[in-house]
Amino acid sequence: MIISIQTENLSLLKVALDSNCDTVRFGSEFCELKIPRLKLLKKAYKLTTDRGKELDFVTPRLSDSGLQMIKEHLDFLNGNGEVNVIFNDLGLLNLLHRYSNLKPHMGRQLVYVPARCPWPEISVGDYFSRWMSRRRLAKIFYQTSLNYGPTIQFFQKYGVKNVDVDWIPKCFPHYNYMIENGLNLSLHLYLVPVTLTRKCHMARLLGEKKPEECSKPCKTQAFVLRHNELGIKLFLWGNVVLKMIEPSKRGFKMISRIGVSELVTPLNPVIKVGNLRGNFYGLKV
Amino acid sequence: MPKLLSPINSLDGAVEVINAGADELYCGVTIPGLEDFILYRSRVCEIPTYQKLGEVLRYAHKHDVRVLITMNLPFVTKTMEGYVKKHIRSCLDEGIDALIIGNMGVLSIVKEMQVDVPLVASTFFVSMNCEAVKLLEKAGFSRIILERHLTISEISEIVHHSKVDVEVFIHNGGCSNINGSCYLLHIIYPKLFQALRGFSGINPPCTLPLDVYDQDDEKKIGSGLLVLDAFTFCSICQLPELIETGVYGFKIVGRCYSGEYIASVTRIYRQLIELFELGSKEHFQKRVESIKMGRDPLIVDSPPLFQLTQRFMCEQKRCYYRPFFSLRTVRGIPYNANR
Repeated sequence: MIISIQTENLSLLKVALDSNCDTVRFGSEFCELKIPRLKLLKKAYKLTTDRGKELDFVTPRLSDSGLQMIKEHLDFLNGNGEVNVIFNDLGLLNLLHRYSNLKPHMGRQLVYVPARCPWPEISVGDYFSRWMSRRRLAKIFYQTSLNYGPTIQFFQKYGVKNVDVDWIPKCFPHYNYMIENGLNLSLHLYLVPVTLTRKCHMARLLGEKKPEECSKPCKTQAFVLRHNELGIKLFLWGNVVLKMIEPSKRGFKMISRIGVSELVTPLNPVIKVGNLRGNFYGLKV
Repeated sequence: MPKLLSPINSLDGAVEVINAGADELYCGVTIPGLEDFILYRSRVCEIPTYQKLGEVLRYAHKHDVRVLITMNLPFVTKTMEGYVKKHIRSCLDEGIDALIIGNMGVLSIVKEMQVDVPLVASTFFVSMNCEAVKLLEKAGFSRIILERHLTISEISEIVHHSKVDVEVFIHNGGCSNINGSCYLLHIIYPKLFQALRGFSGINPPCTLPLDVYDQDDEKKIGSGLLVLDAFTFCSICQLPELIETGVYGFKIVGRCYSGEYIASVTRIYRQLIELFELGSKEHFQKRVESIKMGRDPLIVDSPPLFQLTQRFMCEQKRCYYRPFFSLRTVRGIPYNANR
C-alpha cells in the first residue's frame, strides 16, 4: 500500500518530503483560484523528484479559464515522463487523453457517495419505518456511483484505472466491487467533502471582494462550524465544507483486507502536521 | 429566443403552466421500489403514477408542449438497476419526449435499452466548461444543462463553442453549492427539517444558522451565522444578457412548488422574453422595474407566497448571476441569523 501526502502549499510539501511517504500529491483539489502557478509546480516537481519521490498533480473542478490555465501545467508534466493527474472535472478528463504520459486518476468529486451527507447515521434509522425498506435503502445509501459496472466501464474507456474514495467505514464493504472491476482505490484519510461551492463561503465570511483579487486566506486558515442541536461539527476550508472521520485500527484492518492501493493523508490548515503525529496508527509520517 | 422550461408535479400544474406560456415541461415520476430513497425532494414533488403521467402527456401534446422526464438519480448501483430499467420503460410507453439524466450509469441503461428519445445531461454532471460539454456530446447527449455556478460570460463562451443545445437555470432555488458535489440535503432528517423551517416552508440546509469558531484556538467568531448561505433566486434583471448568450432554454426550478406559483414565474418570464423580442429596451426596463417594485399586475395578481418570496429575494439581491463573492445574506448585513 502506497502512502501519499496531499498538499497545495510548497512549505507543507517540504514537510511531506521529509516524511516516509512514497508519493506526494500537489495542487488544489477544490478551488480553481488556488491552482499553483506553473513556476511553483515546476519547483514542486523538482523538489519531489530530487528526493526520489513521485509527484501526482491534483486539480479541482474547472471553468474554461481554469482549463486554459492548466493546459500549460499538463504540457510541462507530459514532457517529464509519466505522471498521475487527479481530475475532478469531466472537461479535464476529455483533455487528458491527448497527453500520452499523463495518467487520468479520478478524483473524489466525480464519485457520488450519498454517505458523505453529514447526518446519515442518525436519519436512516430514525425516519424509515419499514424494516425491509430500511435495509434496502441503507444498502444503497452506503454505495457509490462506481458500484455499477457500466459506469466503471465508461471511465475505463477514458483510461481511468485509479480512483479516489473516502474513509467512510460503512462504505468499505462496497469498495470491494470497484477493485473486482479493475479499479485501484486511493483512500483519503480524515476529511470527507460534504459540499463545495464557487460562491466561496469563507471568502464571503472574511469580506473578500472579487475572486480574481482573492487573498486566499484558506492557505493558512480554516473554521469550525457547529450546530449544537443537530450535534454536527464541520470544517469550512475555503470553498469546501468537510466532515472529519478519524481513522480507526479496525478500519485499517478492513481496508487492508479489501486491498486498497493508496492511503492519502491531507496536509492543510484543517489537518496539520501536529495532528498527525499523535494518531496516525503506526504509519509514520 | 430561448425556450421556457417549467417544472410540474401534477396535471393541474401542467394546465396552469402551459396557459402561462411554458414551451416545455419537465417533471419527475416516482420510481416504484425506490419510493423511499429520498435524496433531495420528497415524493410530493413528483408525479405519483404512470397513469397520471399519461394524463399530463396527453394534455401537453394536445397543446404542442413537450414533456421531459427527469431521472432523479445522481447515481445508480446494481441494486437499483432493475427498478430504473422498469421505470424508463414505463415512462417511454406513456410517450415522453426526452429524458434528463444525471449519471453515466443511467445513460448506459438507456443506451442498452436503445431508447429513441433525446437525452439531456442534468446539472448533476457539473458542466462548467466547453470540454465537459464535448465529452457529454460524445457520450450521446443532445442537450446540456449547465451548472448554476457560472458567470454569464462563461455561459456565453460555452454556448459559442458547443454543437449541442445548452440550457441554464433562471429562477427559484439557485443552490449555494455545486449541485453535483453537495450532500447537505440528502435524506429526510426530522431534526434538520425542524431547524430549517422558514417563512416559506422548508429552507435549504445551506441556510442553517451555524456557530463559527476559529480552528486554531476554538475561539467563537459568531453565533447563528448563515455562513453557508449564498442562495440565489432570480434572473429577471439579467434576462437581456442571458438571452444574448444564445442559450437554447431557460429553466425554472421548483418541482415542489404549486402549479399556481410556477405559473406566476412562467408568466413573468414569458412576457419579458416577448417584450425583449419586440426590441424596445426602454419598455423592457420599465417592466422590470415595476416587477421589482411589486407594482406590476403580474406580481399583484400572483399568489401571496410568490409576492412575499419575490420581494424578499429582490431586496437581498439574490440574483442568479451576480459576481460570486458579492452576496450578503440579510438586507446588506452579512450573516445576521434573524430572519
